[in-house]
Amino acid sequence: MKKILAVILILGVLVGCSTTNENTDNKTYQVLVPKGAPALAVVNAMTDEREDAYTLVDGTDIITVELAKENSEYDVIIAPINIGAKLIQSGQSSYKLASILTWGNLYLVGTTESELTEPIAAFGELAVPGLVLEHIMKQSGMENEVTYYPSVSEAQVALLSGKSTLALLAEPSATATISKAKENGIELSIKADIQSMWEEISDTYGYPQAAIFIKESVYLEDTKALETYLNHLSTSTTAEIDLLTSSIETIGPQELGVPSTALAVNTYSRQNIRYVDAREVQTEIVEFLSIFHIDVTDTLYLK
Amino acid sequence: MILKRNLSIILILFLWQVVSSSIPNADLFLPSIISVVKHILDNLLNLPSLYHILITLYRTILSFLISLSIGVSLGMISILYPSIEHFFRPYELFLKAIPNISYMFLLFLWIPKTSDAIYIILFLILFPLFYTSTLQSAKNLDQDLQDVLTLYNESISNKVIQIYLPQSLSYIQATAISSISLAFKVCVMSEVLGSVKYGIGRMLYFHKLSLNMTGVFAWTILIIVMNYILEKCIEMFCKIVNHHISL
Repeated sequence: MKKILAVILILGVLVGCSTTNENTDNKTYQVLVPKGAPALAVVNAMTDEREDAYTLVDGTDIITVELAKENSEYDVIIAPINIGAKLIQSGQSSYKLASILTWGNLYLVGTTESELTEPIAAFGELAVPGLVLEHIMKQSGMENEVTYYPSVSEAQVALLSGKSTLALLAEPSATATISKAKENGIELSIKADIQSMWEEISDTYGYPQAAIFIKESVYLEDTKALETYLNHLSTSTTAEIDLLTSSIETIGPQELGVPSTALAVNTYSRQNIRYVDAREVQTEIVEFLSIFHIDVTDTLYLK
Repeated sequence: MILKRNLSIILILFLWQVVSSSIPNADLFLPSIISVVKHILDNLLNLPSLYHILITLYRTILSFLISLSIGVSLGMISILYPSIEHFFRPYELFLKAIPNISYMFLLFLWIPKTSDAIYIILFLILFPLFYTSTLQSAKNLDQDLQDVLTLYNESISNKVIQIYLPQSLSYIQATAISSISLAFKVCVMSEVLGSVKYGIGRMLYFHKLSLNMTGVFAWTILIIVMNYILEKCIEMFCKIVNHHISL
């Protein structure tokens, strides 16, 4: 009798353990992702065997609202780090920063003859592109005249039409512009990598752009499951061409907010998609958020 | 009537405050009236803000006056020479049909300086309104007057000064009162989309990017107040003109 009970007990423990493992593996998350580079970063994860639900959105307005909501349906939100950090530091969000997903995709594109001292056609004056450019120029003593255009398209047109010989562009627009110029017999090339320039002046890893924010209650409810998911995301950000191509084709380039599959695959490395735990790059985060006048405290990070 | 109007304003303010007090993260979604008023007093009543306001006003009023002058003048010419009216008809329909946003997208691409593009955008939106209202006034001319004009071969200047202009005045005035607030709003929207260096639109955009909704609300309240003032100014000006004409 005692032996039977012992066997039943052991079996029960084994079943319980396996059930726990199954729960961890089967736990799925609701993920909100902005289109563009962040969507490209998670495209492989979107098409794999896990059943997490990904919602792709244009712009950052919905993302801002969901980060600020008390009862958002999203467990994970990928957002520009400055937006998430601002809300968290002002006590307006129940999310925490877990990791960094993308590290900037800005480049100075110009004609073969153009020098880096020439006037720059730029975009995003009060946003990340403009602020990053101005910070770099200030720190490195560059005194270029900068003309801001309403969006990257207008800066692109300024370069293609010859109005400007140097422009600040974001990938994949930078590569698309170079290809378009070639069709019209104009030779353009990438003259400077803004990310490298940032690394030089700040002596850091780079500037973080898109970050992964996790609802703190979700993390506390099942830390192991979430860490499994984050590890999975980390390993899925591969530049392996065949996998990437098939994932992008499955979701659709327009749905992801990229011009075409080929362009997305060709510019993948220049989009600086790199998963890094936020705790490992705190210096980079503080440096970047300082240009937005956001003071970082420990409450920003997921424990 | 004034009491009813004040009561409705008080009701809106009361509802605003109640909703703001009851939602979480109100600063982000619906800042309280007190925080908005405080922002207006602390940040809007200073020289830099005044400069932004004046720039937007300048763009609006200049474009408004140019559109009015050219719209009414061309309208008068079209009344006198119907062949010109027929010639401009497709352009009139074309300009009236194009959405404001299309003007903004195209002109910001074509014109090197976005601040210059704003004047053209406002002109393209306002000009058809004044042109059409001037033409309409002639079409609604009293039949007896039309018969007189046909019978007596008056000079062009007499026709315009004695008949067409006075006849069209009420139409132009009505258009002016309704279009000034449209001009102001379109100007602000163009400034936001055009990323201009100065203007109310720039301030709105800046606060939006900084997630400072209190600032967005404060500038929006200012836009409402300024719209009201502009309309009242146009109404007053029309009254003065009518008074002088009646004398």
